[in-house]
Amino acid sequence: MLLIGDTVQGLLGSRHYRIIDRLGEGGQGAVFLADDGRGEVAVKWYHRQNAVEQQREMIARLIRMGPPGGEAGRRFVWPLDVVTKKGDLSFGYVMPAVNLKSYAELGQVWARLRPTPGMRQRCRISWQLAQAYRQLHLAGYCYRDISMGNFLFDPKSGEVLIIDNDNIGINQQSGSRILGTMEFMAPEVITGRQVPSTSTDLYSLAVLLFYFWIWHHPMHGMLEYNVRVWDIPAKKRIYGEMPVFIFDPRDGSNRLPADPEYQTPLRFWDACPKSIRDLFIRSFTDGIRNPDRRVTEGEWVHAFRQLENQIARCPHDRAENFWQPGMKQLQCWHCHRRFDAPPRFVISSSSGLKHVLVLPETKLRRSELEPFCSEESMDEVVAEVIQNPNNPNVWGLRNLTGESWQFMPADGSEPREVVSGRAVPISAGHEVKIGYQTNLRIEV
Amino acid sequence: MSDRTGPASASVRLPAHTWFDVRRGSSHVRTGLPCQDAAAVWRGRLPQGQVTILVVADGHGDSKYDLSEHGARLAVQTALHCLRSFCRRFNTSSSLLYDAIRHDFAHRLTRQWRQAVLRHYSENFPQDVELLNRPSINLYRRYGTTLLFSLAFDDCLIGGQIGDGDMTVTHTGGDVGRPIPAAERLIANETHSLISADSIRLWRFCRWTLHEPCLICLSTDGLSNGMASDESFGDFLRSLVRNIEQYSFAETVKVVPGFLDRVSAGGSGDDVSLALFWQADPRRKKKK
Repeated sequence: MLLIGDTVQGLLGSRHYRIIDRLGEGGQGAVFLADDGRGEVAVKWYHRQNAVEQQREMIARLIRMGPPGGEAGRRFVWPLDVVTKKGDLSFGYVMPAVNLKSYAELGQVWARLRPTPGMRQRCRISWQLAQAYRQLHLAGYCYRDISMGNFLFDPKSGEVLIIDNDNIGINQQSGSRILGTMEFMAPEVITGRQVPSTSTDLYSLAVLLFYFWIWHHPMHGMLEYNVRVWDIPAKKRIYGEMPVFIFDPRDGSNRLPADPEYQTPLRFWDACPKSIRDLFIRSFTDGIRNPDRRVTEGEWVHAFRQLENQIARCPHDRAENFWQPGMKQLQCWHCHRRFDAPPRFVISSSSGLKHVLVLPETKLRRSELEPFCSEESMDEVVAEVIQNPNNPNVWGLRNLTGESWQFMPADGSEPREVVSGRAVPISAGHEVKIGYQTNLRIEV
Repeated sequence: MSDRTGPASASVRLPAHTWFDVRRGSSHVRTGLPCQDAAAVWRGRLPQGQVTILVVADGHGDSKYDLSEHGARLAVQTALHCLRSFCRRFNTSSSLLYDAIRHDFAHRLTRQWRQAVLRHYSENFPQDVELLNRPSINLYRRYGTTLLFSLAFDDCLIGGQIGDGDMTVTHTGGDVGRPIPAAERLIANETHSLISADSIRLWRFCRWTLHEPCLICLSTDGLSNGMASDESFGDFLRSLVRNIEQYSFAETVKVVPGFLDRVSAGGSGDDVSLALFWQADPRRKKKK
């Protein structure tokens, strides 16, 4: 085992790493902060029983192949070097150090050690997580051990990091000693019919997102509650052999028990937007029996990006509420009072319809107007809601695209050009043509 | 459960000593309040090998938690039972046991503790039929308590904590490790506990690799609060290790109760519980 002050030797670059602090420990090994003479890095050092040659080879291979590309690929804290210590049979690997003051684990949020992310941040964290796994899968990898302990997020900014990437393998190729964490494993992995793959990753991702939104395991209902001897066979039965979703609309055999400790998920389920509830239902009903019906990473990304733009604060208590298409009014989940839905931008493009609530702080990003823009430019602000300085009751949408828009007033009068930097008034029925394929309509 | 003092059952490979004590706080003595802390040590053979479990609990002090001394005692008993059961059922690897404890211990323990509380209440207040038929949070609140445990086998320590209290691992070199870092205190000296809303999510768990020799120490907050500073608390732990090395574990723990009483009298007046597990280095013993 490593001690503070020890030095470990890198195998790839012959670099030395001096251990300066202990950051934490998990099932496979302990993580240390180290100094390589140029800056701080993290070193994961395996428990002796987990330090097997197959693991070492896999890490070396991951280092050679590199992380997935693009913005999402940078969210993986990827191994940089394999390290050993003289006289020690174990080994470890080096990875970039993470600023743990900014990033939190979900368990820390539950224990109220870190702030709970707001709804907008939750959406951002969720789509970033799904996008990262999408990018990983596109690169031919599978993660194999998606679980609560392997992802970190910044509750304020909504940025995501994925850690413990040493279990990543090549989909359908690499063997592994890792089957995952039982709570997150797909039923076919638990029952031994399949080994972890991108398809089973999709199931684990749905469980992780369920934990993130509902703070509960999707199968922990009456069936789990009534188990008197909680052991491995019981877990296999609940998660693998006869999994029943607690909110399955057709099978009520595993509803939440009337126990105070099981009421939180009910409250969060009620507050969860219908579009997301529908995806969870599919994941844990059809998706259990038929892996082809599992919700893909792209579907999660699309759903959560939509929701990010559909959050309205209750005027009475400032609680964040989700608006869903068709709603004229919202009922606050917190104070239960009703309030009118804000106006919406209805954006139609080649990828379909999008709704963005018109709020003083609303900004349209390039991905909202150009669905197939590059990943790097997705977050670029291309339009913003502004207030008329001479008449605060008049609101407008300022064009920041660098190109002209065509504005079509609701009264049917002549279309007008809106050059970059100028704004169109926000009023029901007005339409704006943006580029060749995107149309924006204001709906009240 | 082991005796109150003395070395635990002999182990040739890993000589180990355990000890615990629960001291009634000076302010409790003054005002006639019962001791609301509880602690226990269990050491025995499980599928993992020789396993040592330390548990301490601190019943809440306010008058609205008037049965908290029972709450703490029941929490300690329930935790021991639950942890031994987890050890028997998740015994193929330390990772599996840690995962099981992390994911399942909190709600299994909470449910069993509540059942124990209901049993206790029905035995002692059988006339309160209305509350017994519809047990509410008001009933459990009267039994409010924190809970802190550590489970050690081979070189592995698994710990868990809800509410305040301290878990430390002190090495002969003087390093004091905190497997579960101290959390920021809540407002007005409040703490999370088994009766907090959503208590199952307030637990913190850890896994820690032990370097021998080391002293695993669990204590209720009466001890660290009674010290002048974190540094004094660290000095106390280091002095225990020094004395154990110099005089023996049995000699060292003889003087600890008196010291705990002085800490309570000179500090917060709170009850103080301390549970110790000393894991000596067999290689050193051979050299001697």
